[in-house]
This record gives sequence, C-alpha cells and structure tokens, in this order.
Amino acid sequence: MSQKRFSLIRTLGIIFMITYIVFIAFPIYWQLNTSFKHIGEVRKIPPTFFPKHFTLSPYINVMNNPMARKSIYDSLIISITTTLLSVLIGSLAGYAFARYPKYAGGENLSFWMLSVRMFPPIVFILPFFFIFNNLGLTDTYFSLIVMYFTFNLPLSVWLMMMFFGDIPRELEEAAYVDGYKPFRAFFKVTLPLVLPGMVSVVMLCWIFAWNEFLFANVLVGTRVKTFPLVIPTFASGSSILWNQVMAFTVIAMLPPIILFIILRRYMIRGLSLGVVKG
Amino acid sequence: MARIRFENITKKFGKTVALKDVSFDVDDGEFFVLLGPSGAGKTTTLKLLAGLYKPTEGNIFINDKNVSEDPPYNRNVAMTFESYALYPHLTVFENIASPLKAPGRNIPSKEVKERVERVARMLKIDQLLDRKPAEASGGQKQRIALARTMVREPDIYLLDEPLSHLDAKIRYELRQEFHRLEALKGVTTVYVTHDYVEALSLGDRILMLDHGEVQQIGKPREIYEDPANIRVAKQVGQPDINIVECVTRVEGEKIVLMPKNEPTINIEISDEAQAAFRNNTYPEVLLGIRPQFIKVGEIPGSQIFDGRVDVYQVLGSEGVLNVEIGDLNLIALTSPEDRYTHGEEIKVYFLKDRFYFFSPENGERIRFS
Amino acid sequence: MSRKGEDILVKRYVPFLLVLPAFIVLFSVTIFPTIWSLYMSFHQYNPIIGKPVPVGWKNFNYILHWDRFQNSVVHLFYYLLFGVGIEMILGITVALLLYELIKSEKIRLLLLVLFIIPMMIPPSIVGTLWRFLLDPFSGVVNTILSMLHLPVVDWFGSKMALASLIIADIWEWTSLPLMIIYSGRVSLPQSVYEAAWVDGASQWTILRRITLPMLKELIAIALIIRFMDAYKFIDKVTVMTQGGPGGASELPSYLAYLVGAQQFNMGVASAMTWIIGLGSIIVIMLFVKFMKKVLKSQKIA
Repeated sequence: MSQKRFSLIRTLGIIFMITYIVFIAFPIYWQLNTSFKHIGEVRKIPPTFFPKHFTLSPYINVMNNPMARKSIYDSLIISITTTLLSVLIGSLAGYAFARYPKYAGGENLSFWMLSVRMFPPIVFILPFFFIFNNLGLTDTYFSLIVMYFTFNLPLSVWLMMMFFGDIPRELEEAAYVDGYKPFRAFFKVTLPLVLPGMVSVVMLCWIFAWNEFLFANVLVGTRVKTFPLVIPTFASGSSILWNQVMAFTVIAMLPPIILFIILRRYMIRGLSLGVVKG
Repeated sequence: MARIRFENITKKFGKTVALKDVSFDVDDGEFFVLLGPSGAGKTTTLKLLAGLYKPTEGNIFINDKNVSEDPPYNRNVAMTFESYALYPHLTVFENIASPLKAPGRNIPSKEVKERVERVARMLKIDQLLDRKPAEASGGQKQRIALARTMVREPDIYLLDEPLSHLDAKIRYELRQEFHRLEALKGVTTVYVTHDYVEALSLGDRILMLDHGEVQQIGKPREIYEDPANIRVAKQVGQPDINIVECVTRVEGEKIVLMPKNEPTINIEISDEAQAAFRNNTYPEVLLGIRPQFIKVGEIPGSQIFDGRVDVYQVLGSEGVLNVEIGDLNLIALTSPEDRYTHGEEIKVYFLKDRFYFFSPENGERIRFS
Repeated sequence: MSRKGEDILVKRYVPFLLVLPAFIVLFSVTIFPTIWSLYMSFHQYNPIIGKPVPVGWKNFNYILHWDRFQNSVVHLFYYLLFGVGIEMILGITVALLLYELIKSEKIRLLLLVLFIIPMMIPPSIVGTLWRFLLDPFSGVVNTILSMLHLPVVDWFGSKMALASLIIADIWEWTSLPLMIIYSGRVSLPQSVYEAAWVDGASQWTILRRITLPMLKELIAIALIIRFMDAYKFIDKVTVMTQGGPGGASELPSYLAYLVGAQQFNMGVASAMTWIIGLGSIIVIMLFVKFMKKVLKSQKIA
C-alpha cells in the first residue's frame, strides 16, 4: 500500500522539480535568445522561441559602445583593487583569529566584525555620501573602493578564519621543529594549503564588488560608472533595444558565472556559511 | 648527544593545569619513555622539550644550557607527531627533506638527496618518494614521519605515540625495528606511549605520568614489579591488576584482610605485612593481586578458597579466567591448555608474597621495611 | 617564578597587530556613520539649503506618522511573508527533492550550478531582465498568457508592482536557502536514516522527526539571512519600479534612500535609517546566536 503512495509522492515531486527548473532556466534562456536576435525579430508578436536570423550584432554593438566599454573597465578597476585589499587584510586578521583567538580579541571581536557586514548598507550610505561630498571624493574610484573594501572585509576575515582553522596547527609546529621560523613556515606550509580557500574568498569579494548597485548609484555616476549603473540606463526610455541590453547583461554576468563554475567546490562552503552577499 | 633536565616544570593553558611540578633527568643516549593514559600530559611534555610551548614555571636544560625560552628552530631536536603532521601538499621526498632544507642548514642538494634516499631505504619507503602522503597507508605515513625525524642528526629525538595508529601486527614489527635502528642508538630519545608493552619493551627507563604529575620513574622491571602507587599498577599489566578493598582485622594471632564486599572470607597475608598492619596504622587497605599470581588448584601451605568459574577465555598463549569467590570477582591467568566451564566449582589460591598494598586515601603503595 | 604567555614562537602582541588593520578600517567606517546619523536624526538638515537645525524628536515623530512610511512597512511585511516565505518553503522543498529524487552526482551538480546562476547575476541585471520579461505590452510572459487565452496582467500597475518585485526576488534568491539546506542535508549521517528504516518509519515521519529537526539551525540561518536582506532591498526596486506607481512598491530602505540621497533631507533619512538599523540589530543578534551554535556543533563533530 505504501508503494503506491510512495510513487504518487515521487511523481508529484518530479513535476515540482521540473516546474522549478523551468522557472529558473526560462529567464536565462530568454535572455540568451533575445541577445542573438535582430531588433525587428525581438519586437515581433508572437515572439520566436529561437532566433530565426541568428546574429552577433547586438554583442558587437555593445562592445563598440564607449559607455559600455568604459563601465566594464571601471568595474574591473574597482573590483580588482577592492578584492586585493580585502583578501590581504582579511587574511592577516583571519589567521590571528584562527590561531590565537585569545590574543587577537576573541569571539566577540570576530562576531562584531561579521555584524558590520550584516547591517543594511543604507545605514552607511548617507553619512558616506555626506563625507565624500564634503571632501570632493564623490564620483571617484576611491569612494567605491573604500565602501566595497569595508563591506567585503568581514566576509574575508571570517572565511579566512575558517580556512586557516581547518589547517592543523601541528603542521606548522612540525615546520618549526624542522627548523623554519614562523614567517618561513607560513610560506612553506600554511599558505599553500590555504590557497584554494583564499581563491574562493577572492571570488566572493570580487563578485560583490562586480555586482554592487546601491553604493555605486549614490556615490558615483558621472565620471566613474560601473556597469550595473549603465545597464538600466540602456533599458530606459522608449523603443528600447532589448537585444543589445540582453547582450550587455550576458557579457556582464559571464565572468562571475564562469569563475563560479571553475571554483564551485570552494564556494559551497562559503555559501553554507551564508555570508556570501551584501 | 644530549642530556635533558626538566626542573620543576608546571605548564598551564589558561586555567587548566597540564603539568604540575614535573622534574626528571634523561642521560646522554638514553631511550626514555613517557608512559601514561591519554590526557596525562605526555604530549605537552614533548612539546615543551621541542620548544613549541613555554613552561609556565620551572626550567628546561639541554646539556646544562637553560633552553626554557628558546624557540624550536634554535634547539637541535627532531620530533614526530602523533598526527604525523605530514605536509599534504609536498611529496614524500620533500617531506623528508624538509628539515635538511631549512634555512641556515645549507646542505648541498646532492647530499640532501643521498640522505633522504638512505633513510627511506632503511624504513622501506623508498618506492613512495615521488608520491603525496595521502597516497600512503597508515603504516607508511608513520614511517614517512619517522624518516623526516631520522634524516636529521639531532641532539634529541622526540617521538609521540609513533606506533599508536597501527594495527597490532605492524606495531609488533616496527617495535622490533626500533630495537634494530642504529640511528636511534646512542641518540637521546624521548618516546611517548600509552601502551605499557611498548614502554617495557623499548625503554631504558620509564616515566609514568598521570594527571600531569610524575607517578614513578624507573627501569621497566621496577615499574612493573615495584609500582609506586595504584595508578602505575593499573596502567602497567594486562589484564588489569585485581584491586580488592579490604579491612584489616585481628583473627586470633594473625592479621588478616577482610574484603569489604565479601566479609565472610579472610585473606591471609605475609608475616612482613602482618607486622606492618599490627599497630592498626592501616584500618583499611587496597589489596592488589596481579592475575598471574592467582592460581587454580591447591598446594600445601597455601590458603585455599572455594571459587566458581564465571567467564573463561582462551587468548592464544594464555587463558583469562574470571573467578568468583563469594561476591569477589577476580581475574586470573591460566595456561591456555586449561578448560573451564561456566559455574564450575574450583579451588583457588593466591601467591601472598606477591601482594601489593595501597593506601585507600591517596593510592600510594604501602611498603614494609 | 612564573612566565607570561603560552607561546615561544609568537610574541603576544603579534596576533593583535594582525587584527589591527581590519579593526581600524571597520571601526572607523562604523563609528563615524553611527555618530553622524545619530546627530542628524535629531536635526533638520538639507546640505543644499543650509546648516543643521536641532529639532528634537520631530523627525521620528514625523516618520512614524507618515503614511508613506507606514505603507512601506506594510509592503515590507508582504515581502517577508510572500517573498521570504515562499523562498524558504521552495528552497527547502527543492533541496530535499534534489537529494531524494536525483541520485546521479553529475545531474545534481548540473542543477546546482543552474540554480545558483540567478544569485551570481548582478541584482540590477535581474531587475532589468524581469522588467523585460514582465513588460505589459511586449513582455514574453504576457505574450504567453495571451497565447493561452488567459487575461494579461499589468505587472507594473499599482496592484501588481510589489508582486512583480517579489517574483524577481524569488527567482534570484530561492537558491540561497536551497544551497544551505542542500549542503546540510548531504552532511547528515546516513546511519540515522538506516536506523529509521529498520524501525519502519514512514517517509513523512522521517522528514518531520529526523530531517527537519537536524537541519533546524541551518534553516534558521538561511531564514535570518533572507530576513536581513529585506532591509537591504533597494536595487531591484530602483531598477524595476522606482517604488511606483504612486509608492505602491516602496520598501523602508528604498524610502530612506529616496529621502536622503534624492531629496537630500538628511535629518528624516537618518532617523529612518536608525529605525531600520534597530530593527536589523535584533535579527543580527539572532543570527550570531545560531551561528555560534552551529560552529560549536561543528567543532564537537
């Protein structure tokens, strides 16, 4: 009797799964589908579920658009700088928290750092808008780098703390006994072992900076423009060139997705800690 | 070549006291074993010697030089860790070569290669040199860790439970090897184990450690035959020593021991012991009888007890018999040829000259003369 | 004689020095905004018009009686109830189904990668994408509806604007609870389940008595994270609806952003961020509590 009920539940479960997969996959499919069409085909009703005339021109047009190019360039500069700073400073603190929790300030300090990440950014935006304005720093790389660095640092500290904590202390002790001083032992043993973890922290910090919209919207926008600011402007007004907008979004979301697929193994842990995002 | 002197060492981690006022000396070239149950403070002692920990109180001398605050890279000691602590990202060769390549040693790479290969051959891991430690078996990992220690020419070897993770057979083989290893001969070695067989078989001298305190220091025979207290007696010997809580009482001319949970019998003791208990200095004692000193049968001149077989197991070279005398359940060792069945009535006698007596208050041995 | 310190190798102050840069950065960027916005929330201040004028509790009083703010709080509750609620239920269900129904490691991994893509996409792109899909005239969703002879929906009208935001949010963030619960489910010991099968427990009992209780800390963490995000929900609002039409899709954070960064009314905006901040502190404290619990149980295991 339970066999029958069981298979009913199974069937319902499979239907449910398929519905969910379609829900997740359809928008991505539609985005890709649109990005390879000419604008005339995009506006056609009923829509075509596969490009009749496959074209790369939306991509070429976007790449030739100076505003789009500049925005990708600005995004790259800001996210790379932010990431390097966050991972470097975060690793120092993470190591101290993992190895010498008491001397480094203990659980309370590390949790305080984490909580900074969790505060709604709106709490920080207005004061920083004010101070950067007074210092003439709005619309500069510096303003965004400072903010992203601040928001990435707690995540970096925490994940590095976990990754360093995973490396048995005795490995370092063995190196000391072998005759290596702490600094040399760190480079011989600890760093190579923590590197995969560090790579995933680099990823997460980079994605945060790459994707961020709100700070960018308030703090920059004229001389400096990251692509999350530029894409919505492409999609405003009348007679929007949706094929180009979608091509632009595909270009912009490609780097994080490719990196994620390469590095997914390391990222699951970061995700399960639930501190992935801002 | 080195002498070690541990002088009144106390080691605290925060509020927990890991070692309490521990003192001992190790002679040049001696094989010195630290024996004790887990949590006794053995590894802490080794790490203090290695320079990984700093003593909270007291001083450590190596060759009369106070090294209490010297870091490990300034002490010429080599150590294997209980966890092996092999570097997982380096090959076996690089693992073993690590101490030779340490800054300041300046050993030419040709010599490094020779020495690594020599020690690998000696420990029969030369076929593994290009692999990563993760690809080696437990016994091989053990040898790699040992090789990393022995490739050096240190003043002192520190070996932390080097055989503990191995199965019984490999353990026995490696124990034999330890006896043969020329490298270990003549170099001061401090060896940590919880296994008394290892301690008795390998040690020139044994330090029995428990609860962070020295229980006894002595040659293997002394530790086994003349335990200083009940903790040492329990740690050394298999099956465990029988401990019977007794009350001393006068029975006519004699002083006898009456087991607390079996008041119907009186256990006779040697004349020396009677003399010691005569002034009622010890109203109660703990009686310790090793299993091999409880015999089945009867011989003239011995006190004979009526026993009943509870459980009997034959373990290859010996038989282990749980025998009940009233409410007393004692373990005896028998010859493996003997056969007993549950409930069988047997006669039992003790070798009363081999009794140990311990104080019920502190577990210390009660000695005569 | 007694020595201080446990370590020969590292001086006592070294770990402190390692933590110091991170501490200085985080301390300075948190302490200044806190003081500034606390000060401003008791002043009337528009940097374009003039200097701050003290007004006491007037800003708070104004906000709490302001119908737009009250509406935005109602919207927040809708968002929590429908958005976060559906994300959690959907995430847990799909995570457990994924584990139970799909036995091939490769397909599992493929689906996990697919599910995680929405999370990797910048929120502003998610907003743009859904604006495109839900466009009332040319959007594919309405086209499909009309092809199926169903009534088309005015997705960005005053009735549906908030719902559209919530749909986009569900699409983007269901994967977060999904991933957390899935990785938790994978790490549950198989032996517990074998014991339950031997005892003849039904699927439902196993789910209710074993799986869900063992995952409850992780479920709580996922819920709290999504809860905190509700306070941050600005980007998709800006891109998709700009709070409109007529404030129909405004959330508290967006309103504070609007009042501060668009209308430069720093006093009212600061007071509003304080109200939002206090609301989130409670949630953060809950999160810290559960995190400590999970970390402890991991250390024991």
